[in-house]
This record gives sequence, C-alpha cells and structure tokens, in this order.
Amino acid sequence: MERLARVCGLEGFLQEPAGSRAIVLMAHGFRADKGKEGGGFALLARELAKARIASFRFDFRYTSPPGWGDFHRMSVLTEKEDLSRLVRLFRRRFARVGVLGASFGGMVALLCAGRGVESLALWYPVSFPRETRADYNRLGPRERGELKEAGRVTLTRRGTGEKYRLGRRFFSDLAKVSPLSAARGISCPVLIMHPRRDGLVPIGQSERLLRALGSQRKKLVLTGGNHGWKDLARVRRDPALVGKAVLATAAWFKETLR
Amino acid sequence: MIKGLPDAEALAKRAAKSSGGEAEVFCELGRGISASAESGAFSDISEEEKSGFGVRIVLRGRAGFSFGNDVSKFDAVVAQAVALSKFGTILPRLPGGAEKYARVPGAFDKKIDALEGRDLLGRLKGMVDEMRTLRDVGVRPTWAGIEATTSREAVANSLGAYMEFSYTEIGGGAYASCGEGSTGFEGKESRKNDLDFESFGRIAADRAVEGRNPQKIEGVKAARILLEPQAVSGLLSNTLLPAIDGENVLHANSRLAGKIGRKVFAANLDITDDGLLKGGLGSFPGDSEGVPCAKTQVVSKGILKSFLYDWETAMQAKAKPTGNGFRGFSGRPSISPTNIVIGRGSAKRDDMLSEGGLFLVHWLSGTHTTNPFSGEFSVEMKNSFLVGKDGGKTPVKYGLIVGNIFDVLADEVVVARDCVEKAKSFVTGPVMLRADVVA
Repeated sequence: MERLARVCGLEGFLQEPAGSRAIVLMAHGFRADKGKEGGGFALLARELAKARIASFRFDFRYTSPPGWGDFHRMSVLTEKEDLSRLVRLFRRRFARVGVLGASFGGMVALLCAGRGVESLALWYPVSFPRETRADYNRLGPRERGELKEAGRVTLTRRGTGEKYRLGRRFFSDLAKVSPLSAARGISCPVLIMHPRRDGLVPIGQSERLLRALGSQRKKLVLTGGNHGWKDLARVRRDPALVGKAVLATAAWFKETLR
Repeated sequence: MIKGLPDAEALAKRAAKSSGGEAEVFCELGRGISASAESGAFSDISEEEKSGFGVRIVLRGRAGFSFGNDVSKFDAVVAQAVALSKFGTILPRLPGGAEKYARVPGAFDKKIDALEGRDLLGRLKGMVDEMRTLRDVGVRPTWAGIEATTSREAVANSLGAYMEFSYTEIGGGAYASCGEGSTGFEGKESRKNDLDFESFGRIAADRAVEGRNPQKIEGVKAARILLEPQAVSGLLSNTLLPAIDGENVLHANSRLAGKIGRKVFAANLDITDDGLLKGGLGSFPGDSEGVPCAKTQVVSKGILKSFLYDWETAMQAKAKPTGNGFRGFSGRPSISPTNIVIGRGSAKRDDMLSEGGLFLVHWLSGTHTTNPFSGEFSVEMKNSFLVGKDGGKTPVKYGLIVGNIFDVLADEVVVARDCVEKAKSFVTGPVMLRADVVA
C-alpha cells in the first residue's frame, strides 16, 4: 500500500510491503519529479512491491511545489545531500538499500552510491556533466552577464519552450563534482539502461562509465527510443520502452537485493 | 595463471592458514553481450561483466561459504565463511590432491572474446532480413536474438587441487510467424564463432511458411511422435535431468532412486553424461570443485547405471563424484549435467518419416510446467505436423503431448543415428516415442 510521506523533509510516495527487508530509492532527473520518468517510477514501485521490496520515490528539494519557485537554489550537491540523508536513514530500517537514478538523478545516485548502497540502477545517466547543455561554458554572453549580475539566469527548455531559472551555485557545484571518480569508488553491482539514440545524453557517456566501474557486476543495456523513454522524435513516451525498462530494473533489484 | 583472475592457489593457501581448516577458492571473470530485435526492429543491446571469488572452508566436518568481488577484502570473506561453517552442511573434506585434467581443445575462441555489443547488430540484421525475404507470403519476423559470453575460471584448494579454464560461447535464435497460428523457430549455440545466423532467419521463415493453414486434429492415444533435437532437449531438461540429479536421488525426490542396476528404460536407449565430448557446449577439463570431468554412463541398454554428483552430494550419498559440480563465484556448487548424449540410434530420420503415421514436432512450449518428480508432462507442440502414410505433411493447429516420461522412455523409443545436434545440454538426434496427443 502506497502512502504519501515526508522523509528528511522530502515529499514522496513510500511503498512498504509487509516483511520487506530491502528498499529502492528513486532519484528523478533534471526538471522532473517523482511522478515523471515516463511514469516508470510508479510502475517500478508496483513491480518491486510484488517481490516484497519497499520503495520511496520522492522530489528533491526545490524541484516541486511549494519549492518550485526556488528551483534556482537546487544544484547537484543539494540533491546529493538529499539522497545521502535518505540512504543513511533507510539503512537503519532496511537490511539492504538500492538506488535508481534517472538522467541528472543518475549522476546524483553515482555520487552517493559509494557507501551504504547495495545495488545501483541508472536510466540514461548524466556521467559527464560538462558535456551537457547545463555546463557554464555553454552559456551565451547574455546569460553569463545575467548570472553575474542577478546571481541567476533564465533559460528556455528546447522543444517545450518552458522557462526556468538556475542559480550561480548550480554551475559552481557542477564544476566541483566528478561522477567518473565517484564511479571508481563504487563496489556495488551497477545496471545502466540507456536509449541507443539518446539525443540529450549520448550513449558514449554510459559506455565510458561502464569501463570506469570496478570489478563488480555491471551491465549496460542499450535500448531503443530516446531520452526519458520517449520515441525517437522525443515527442511521446513509448509505453513499451517504459514497460521494458521497468521489468528489467525490477529483475535487477530482485536479484541484487536478495 | 589466467590474466585478470586473482591467484586462486595462493588465496586458498592463505585462507587455509588463517582459518585452520581446509579451504577452496573459486575465481570467476565473466563477460556477456547480447542483442535482440522484436517485430523486426532493434530492441536492445546488453553488455555485462562480473568478477569475484567464492570461498569454501571446511572446519570440524562442516562447510561454510562466502563470496566477494574485492580481493582486498579477502580476509573478511574468509572470516565470514569460517563463522558460517558452524551452521554449514556436513562435509568431511574437500576433493584432494593434484588431479590430472584432460585437455579440452577449441573451447575458447578469441573472435568471440573480442566481440562488442555493436558487432552483434550486423548479424541480428542478417537474421531479420532473411525472415523478411519471405514477406510476400506473409512471413513476419517476431523475435531474433544473439548472445555471446566469455568465462574465465580457476579453482584451487589447500589440498593441492588446481584447475583453470577459459571458454567462450555464442548462440542465437529467430522466431518468425506466418498467417494465423503458424510460427517457426531455429537457433543454435557454439563455442566457436562458426554459426551462420542468417540461416537461422531463413530456416525459421521456411518453417513458418510450412506451417501455414494449420488444421485441427483429433486426439490420438499412444501416438507416434518424432521429436526434433530442440524438442527432445525441452522435454528431457525438465523431466529426465532432475531424476538423475544425485541430490534429488539422495532426498528421495526422484522416481529413479534406488533403481541402480535395474531396467528403467527401453533396451535401445543409452544416456551418457560426457564432460569431455569434443566440441561439446558443456565440456570442461574439471568441474568447479576441481574434480576431473569424465564420461558417466547414466543408462546403458535401458539399465540405470549411475546418477550425477557434485563432491558434497557424493560424500553424503557415499557415491563416486562424477565431476558435475558447477557454480558461479557467488554460489555453492550444485549438480549440473555437462553434455547429455542420447545414444544407440539405429534408424535414420528420413526412414522414420517415410513410414508416416506420426507427428513431427520441432519444438515444445510449456516444458517448465512438467512435474520433475513424478515425471508427468503436458506440453504444447509447436511447429508441428501430422505426417500421413503417404509422407504428406499437414500442419497441426494445436495439440498437447501428455504422458509420464518414465513410462514413455520405458516404452518404444527410437533414436535417429543421423541429424545429431547440440541442443543446450543435450547431444541427440531426433527421437521417436509414443505418448497421448490431446487436441
């Protein structure tokens, strides 16, 4: 039975089947929330519950109402702090903790998985942030000026035209982290699922990530479709892709969180 | 020593010294890639790597097991195995002494080892394109997949046993459909990079075409059924193999328990587990416990001769270990067949077919639903035909084969001496048997 819960100040849906000894924490991507990722998080929670694995899909700070207006305060390190606190807390209640990170949340999961995490699954993770559009060096002169002056910059999302603001901290924190170095310190099994024609985060990032991981069990699955389990044009979610990703991820956690 | 694997021999000595008991270390480095297509479109490519070591400690007559994948934490893993040995299974000792192992040539193919996920796409496309060549007659590619694996293993124990082995495997299959209710499948596996994947697509498509316009059939009692090797493997994997598993026998979960030396099957049936078969998919110099693999006659002229054992079960059953203890690094050894050779074939496949009055079955569906202990099965015939006395083949729309494997194999069984194929754990030609067919 799923219930809305607030844990460590983060709101989310906690599904805790009776007798569960393991939990999976689900970290959403950039400008997404606990209900997005193609609805995959909710479906995965249901699949995991069948195997008596609990799950918590939550919103990071500033990424959903009422903190939505403060989105410019979020950064990779605020999200890392959120997820680390959840891992520490749930470790006291569950014997085994798994983490699923999607896109930007995948990078956050990589940064947190060094300690206290028994299994990691990543959906189209950002593992080389400086190669993404969110990097400071990719800002234009107008945007850099705005950031310098106001401490925040308004950006427009390609495709949807949606406007959002990022703060100075977002860029400075992004420059501080190295998911690749973090990956080298991870010893738990890692599953990476990445659409082969991802137009936002190229698959090359996941291929390099796979090679950077240590000697633990690791698996890279290149799927069809595009970023966010969308069709190649990145217009619509592809339910078949979402379903496949959910089943493969559920099977992975069932196996690695036994 | 195999590159990339920890020194199992040194680790076993270290574990024995720190635990004060007998120690065994099994190291594994595995890599697998696969690619699949659904409805003719690319579905996914997967690349997986795993490595680690398992430690078994025998202390005061009991075995404790633990595993890890970071050699720097080896001592902690040993300590855990020692702690668990207090509650472990009874095991007086590990396999002893340095054994001589037979050579198993041709088990490792560098070309398979060098394959990457993307390399499989061309072969996958070849399979799909072959199925599409019959698009005009209504053939649709349903599924196609290829998988390639490389394994490097080493096992050592403190009594001096040491064995290392590397092997590769590649396999694939294609499913095609044509019209309503007609499907065709073809698939094979090999340890060498010698498979013609395009032919799988072609054969699957041809079989789907052959099965067009299937007809309803009447149920037949004690029908003559010719099972092709894939169907033989599907049926016997879930019925015969559990019955000859020494652990099931030990716990009286096999109908063959206590029947050594008795006639259990038809007199023209030989069943051998041959761990050294040249080119076999399950050929190894020794098993994962360091016991040399051998040729074990399980059934000879219908008489039950032996069961299959790993070391631990053999000790408990006071039987001779047969070199059938296999495992991954994260698990204890369990009994697994190597190459099950179904022998004493006399007839030729075409001669059996020309007699007519039988069902020809390429593969079976629902084999996992069989009862491994009682031997009862009820499986669906796929890609099957009713062959008339005149040799004419009528595709069958739906039919179940129902029976009990112990009764069926004790009745009339004919194994073809030609068209022998490797189908998973089995090496067999087509097998003719009698069972009820339910429409």
